[in-house]
Amino acid sequence: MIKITHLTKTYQVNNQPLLALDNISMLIEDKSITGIIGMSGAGKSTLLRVLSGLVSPDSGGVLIDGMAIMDMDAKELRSLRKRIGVVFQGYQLLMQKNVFKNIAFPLEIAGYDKEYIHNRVHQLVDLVGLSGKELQYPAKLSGGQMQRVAIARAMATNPSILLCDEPTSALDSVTTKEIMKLLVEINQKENVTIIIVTHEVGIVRSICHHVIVLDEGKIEEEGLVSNVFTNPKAQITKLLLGKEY
Amino acid sequence: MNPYINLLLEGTLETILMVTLSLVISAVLGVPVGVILTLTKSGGIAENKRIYKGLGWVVNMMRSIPFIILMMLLIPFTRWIVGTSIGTIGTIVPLSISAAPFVARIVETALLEINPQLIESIVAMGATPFQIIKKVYFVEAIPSLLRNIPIIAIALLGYSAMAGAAGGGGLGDIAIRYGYYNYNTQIMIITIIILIALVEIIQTTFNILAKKLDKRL
Ligand SMILES: Nc1ncnc2c1ncn2[C@@H]1O[C@H](COP(=O)(O)OP(=O)(O)OP(=O)(O)O)[C@@H](O)[C@H]1O
Ligand SMILES: [Mg+2]
Repeated sequence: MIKITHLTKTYQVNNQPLLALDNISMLIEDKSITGIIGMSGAGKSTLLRVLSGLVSPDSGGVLIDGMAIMDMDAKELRSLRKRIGVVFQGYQLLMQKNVFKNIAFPLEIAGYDKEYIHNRVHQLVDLVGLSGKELQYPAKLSGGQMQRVAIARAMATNPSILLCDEPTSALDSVTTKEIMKLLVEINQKENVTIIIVTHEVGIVRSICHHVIVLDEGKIEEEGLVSNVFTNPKAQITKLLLGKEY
Repeated sequence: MNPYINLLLEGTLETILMVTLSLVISAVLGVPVGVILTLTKSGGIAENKRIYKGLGWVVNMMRSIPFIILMMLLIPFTRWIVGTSIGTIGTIVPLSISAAPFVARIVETALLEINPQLIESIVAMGATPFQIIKKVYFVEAIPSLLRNIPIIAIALLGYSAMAGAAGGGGLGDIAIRYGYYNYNTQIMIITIIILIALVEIIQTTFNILAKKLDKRL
């Protein structure tokens, strides 16, 4: 379980404080798929950065399976990171390494032996449907394929949590559906808790159980997708649902 | 046959030796500095204003000293290190030292081309700073670094000719001694042609290499 309590993060922009996260608290159940939705600048990526320990908040805490990430030293944080997979906005693949090497990367730095890496990468390539593409370089792949590599890489160390930042924002609608299907499959097969950050209502509606609506760093509304989307209360939720609502 | 052919051959080899050795030594000195600059720059993985500013100042200061002056200033140091301040060997010391800050800046620029979000994603995987340097910086930046090697090599070639004129050996020495002081225009022209050919060879080789190794293309 992920427990977030009273998280606050301020950035200094042109010497002005900017409240990117404003007293955020939430609980995320194991093996659930949660959508965090909000407009550009709502603080979605910042929240994911705090969850993955990349950015430390001004105040508040994050407990992952009962462990507080704020209290961890650099070494503990590195080992925690092997239990959290992150799919970053814009894939962030290593352009000079092939598909196999990209997926193997987290395993290599974790110090697994060659044989284990070989077997695990082949499992992952199968899982994301990229068999036969192991020796291709990212520049030769389509957006959907690159996203599959990024997902496989994030899953390499068998994490219990998968964080996805705008996993489909650069993809067409057919590819988006395929990637969504893959995430659901991973959620069920690999028993992983998934948090998806997005500004697309359709994604949340199609695969998320829970939704958290973020605006200007604050949680405006949260709950089961079925409840929130059929009966939105906050103005921003209605705005995001737009015509659909 | 040109009676100077052996002389020219020897001068060319001396020049190649000077440039190659100085390139290697300046890389040994400059690459770590370039890496430290990248790591400590604001937004880097080991941000540190003091180190970045301090090191940056030293680099800039060294780069602003004209080569020929640096060569004179370094004479006692060069003598102490290699036992002589003239000839091919004596020239390698000032050449390496003058190119090192140049290498540092070029490494810094090449490493900064790497998307910071890529570095962030690697940090999020639990990579140590050392792993990031070895497995990300010096893999992703290879094509860019290769494309920059000719810039340094060609600058070194130019400086080595200048050093030659000041007693440093190599093609510059020949051009001055035989071409200029002895009014041997033929020698002068041949040395110039050899220098042009060397520049072309360096540039083309590294361009081909960078193209071959860049997996983005
Ligand atoms: N490193 C930073 N320094 C200063 N300000 C930042 C930094 N990172 C984010 N911000 C600011 O914090 C706010 C929230 O940014 P964040 O990236 O979390 O938004 P987002 O919801 O992910 O938006 P998008 O949908 O565009 O990705 C924005 O106003 C942004 O400009
Ligand atoms: Mg974002």
